[in-house]
Amino acid sequence: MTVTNNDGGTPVPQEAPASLLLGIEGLNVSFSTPRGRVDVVRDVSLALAPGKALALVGESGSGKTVTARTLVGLNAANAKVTADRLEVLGRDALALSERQWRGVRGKEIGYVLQDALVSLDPLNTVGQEIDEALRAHGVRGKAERLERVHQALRDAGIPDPELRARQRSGELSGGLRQRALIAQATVLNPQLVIADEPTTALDATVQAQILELLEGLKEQGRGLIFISHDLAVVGRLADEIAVMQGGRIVESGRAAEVLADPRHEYTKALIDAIPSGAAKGTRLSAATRVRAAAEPDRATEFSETAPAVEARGLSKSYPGPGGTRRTVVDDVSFTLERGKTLGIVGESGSGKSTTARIALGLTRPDAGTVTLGGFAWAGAGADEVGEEQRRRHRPDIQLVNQDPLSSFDPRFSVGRVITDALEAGSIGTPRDRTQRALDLLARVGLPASLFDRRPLTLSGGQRQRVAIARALALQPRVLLLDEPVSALDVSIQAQVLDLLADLQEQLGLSYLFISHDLGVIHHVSDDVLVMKDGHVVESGTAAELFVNPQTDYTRQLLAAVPELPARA
Amino acid sequence: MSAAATTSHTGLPRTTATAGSAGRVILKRAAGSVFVLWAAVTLTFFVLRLTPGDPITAILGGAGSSPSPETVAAVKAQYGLDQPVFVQYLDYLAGLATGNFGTSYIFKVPVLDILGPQILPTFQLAGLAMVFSWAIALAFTLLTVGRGRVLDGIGRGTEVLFAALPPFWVGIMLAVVFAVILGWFPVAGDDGFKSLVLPALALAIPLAGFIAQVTRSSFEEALAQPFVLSARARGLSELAVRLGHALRHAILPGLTLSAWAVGSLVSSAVVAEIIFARPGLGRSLVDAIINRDLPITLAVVVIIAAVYIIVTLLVDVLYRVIDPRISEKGATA
Repeated sequence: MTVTNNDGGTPVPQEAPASLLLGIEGLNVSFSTPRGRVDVVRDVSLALAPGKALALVGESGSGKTVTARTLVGLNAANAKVTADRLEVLGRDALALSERQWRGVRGKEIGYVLQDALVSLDPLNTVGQEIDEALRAHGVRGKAERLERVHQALRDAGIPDPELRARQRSGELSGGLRQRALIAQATVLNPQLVIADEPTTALDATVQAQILELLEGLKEQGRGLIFISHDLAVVGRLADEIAVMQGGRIVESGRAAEVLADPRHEYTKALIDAIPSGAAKGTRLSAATRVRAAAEPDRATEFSETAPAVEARGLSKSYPGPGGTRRTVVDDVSFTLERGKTLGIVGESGSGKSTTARIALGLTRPDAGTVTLGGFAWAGAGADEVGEEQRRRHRPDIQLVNQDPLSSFDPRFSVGRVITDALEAGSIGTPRDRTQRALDLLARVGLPASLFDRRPLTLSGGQRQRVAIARALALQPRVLLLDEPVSALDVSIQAQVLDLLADLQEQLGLSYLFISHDLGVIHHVSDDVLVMKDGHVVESGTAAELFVNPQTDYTRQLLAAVPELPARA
Repeated sequence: MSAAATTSHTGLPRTTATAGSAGRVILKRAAGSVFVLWAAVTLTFFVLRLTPGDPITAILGGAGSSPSPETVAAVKAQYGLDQPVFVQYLDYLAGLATGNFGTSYIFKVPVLDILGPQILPTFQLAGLAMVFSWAIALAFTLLTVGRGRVLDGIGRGTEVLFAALPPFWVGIMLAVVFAVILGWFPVAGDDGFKSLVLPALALAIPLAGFIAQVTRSSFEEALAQPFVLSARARGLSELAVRLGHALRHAILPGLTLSAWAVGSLVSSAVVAEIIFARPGLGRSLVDAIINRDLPITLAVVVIIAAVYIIVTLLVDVLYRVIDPRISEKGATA
């Protein structure tokens, strides 16, 4: 491993390169496409010493992932990699054959992908996946391999490894799954671990645990490269940061310095885009404000005095295995005032989505009532509200999901998606629906040129705007926003949050805002509901709850959120 | 860890399906199978009565014969045709329950005596055709998917061509090339494995085209999954990734198709049986239909339905072996 490659006249820098895990200079990666070459990574230089963590920061398409995959030789077949120097663990990576790469992958470099649910073969047990790495690198002896599988799981902080090794990824919770993914990448004790968005989409407390695990890897003297768009996570783990934009490194340096004193405009924008309580009431992005175009003209019985949504004593349980019942929502009450935002925060399985479905009138509660704008909307027993009664009020409450793409008919154009919603609500005449759809697009800050595009060809942020436009088509009074920005990059997230704030102000909308991201919840909410295991653990105004949490659980949640050090 | 925690934080909870133990599932399936079999028998029984022509004429030697009214009455009584249709139906069901398929109108002997020797050759033919078509389909998938534009195009094109070929034409071509010209295989007859190859191929090639098309697209999909990248990043070779991960996912939809294919193979075997002059159920069915031999027609339909049901059950079991998540759905969904 200490062999330095001197042929080809690659310049050997003064400071002992053999001790560096990575020495990259002038890396370029381009892809050949039917429309010609596309440069994805340009002139990237990186270095990493053992026991250090390097963060690649940037948005989707900034070249982070391609850079990382180049380090394990796993770019797509149409990729072309050139570099002045590409030294990985003391080897010239440009000269490695596929067979030699196979000896490196898994053994000397561990690669952890983003989402463990899809990054582990769902048909295999976790143990089989780890065992595969051992077999691929010639570890003979079944008993020895089994022992090492268990040890790897134990090292990744998984209790009861003998049991977990026999389970498939789908049977594990998000946190255990991510640990198992790390275990399969580190079972052979690689010197370098690359993790692509290792904590994205994890709940705050689980995220904190995974960060701890990664920190442990670092302390064992391994090098860690990780990719993230979450600067708070980066601040916690990284020694060095390289900020990427459009395939180039626009700023790099010691983590603390870059975060505290960003030089590049792009880095500053990324830091400003982080939603938090401190930025409450301010705009997160530089995007221009949208203007309300048309006034609502739909008749509604929505009361001007009653709360927008009032839920009392909601409960819901489902049959569990063996004739038991699993209570998903237990005695949940809340009030959403008109024109305000109520944030519901909680981890997976806390019952927030079921509460949302009840509020939408899609799931019948076992007990409790919901009123919407003063009229009875949902209930159980004597208070039960039939769908016929609900139907004419349905336009008053609309839903925006985390993943809008799956809620669009893929054959429809953007325009059709919206005119279809108008038609369903019998809003406007067939003739003026096109104009209304264009107005709605303008209202959510999208150009009219997107009217004929398919949602599949849009970016994540644009799709979410289309979803909001469609929800607005029926001129609702309440929007139920279920993790509306969770799948978006931080700067796109900032723009969508700003858009939602503008719309609320102009249209007087009330928001029921569900998220697992406490920063987002703090930023947008007037009132907050903290849920755990189907119960409301704590509720109150955002100002009180975040500053002075009353329960241990809320305190624990808040403590788990990584935060950036205050900027100078 | 808990069942609830495995759903993603945005996944709205669904009501859990009540999936019992494996034993109960099999029992339920078996009961369902009996019902399907009964429905097939009933439908065929009544539909065949609706077809024009008089069974008595068939029994008594076709349209040319002119039997006396006494003979007609005697034959009617002998075959139970003097009874109301519904009583005939119940009699038939009762017979089936004891393994009695009735008496052939043409051959005047129990149906099973005629069909018995035909069953095995047909099953051999259909079984081998199934094996061949999977072998061809998997070879195409493993060798051409994601191996560059040229190979991919060749594989894709060949599959479409195969799927479009009519079995009788394939059969004739195979016979001409490999039996007549090259002399590698016998032209016709039922003489061991060698005589089985060409007819099985005739049935297998078009079917392989269908299966390969389905397998190809799911194989492509599987190769693009992050878990495949994970496997490569562990240091696995291309072949290990394809065999160990992608293939398992790719087989599933083709397997579903296979259950249907076996049922249809038994009935479409007639083409190969006629071209290669082999005995078999398909030939018996065609002869029986032409001669209006209702008991044999009915029996063949029942056998095909039974085969279809058994294969479907087998596929179901295989599916669970390949995708163990299914058996656990009840506990984890």
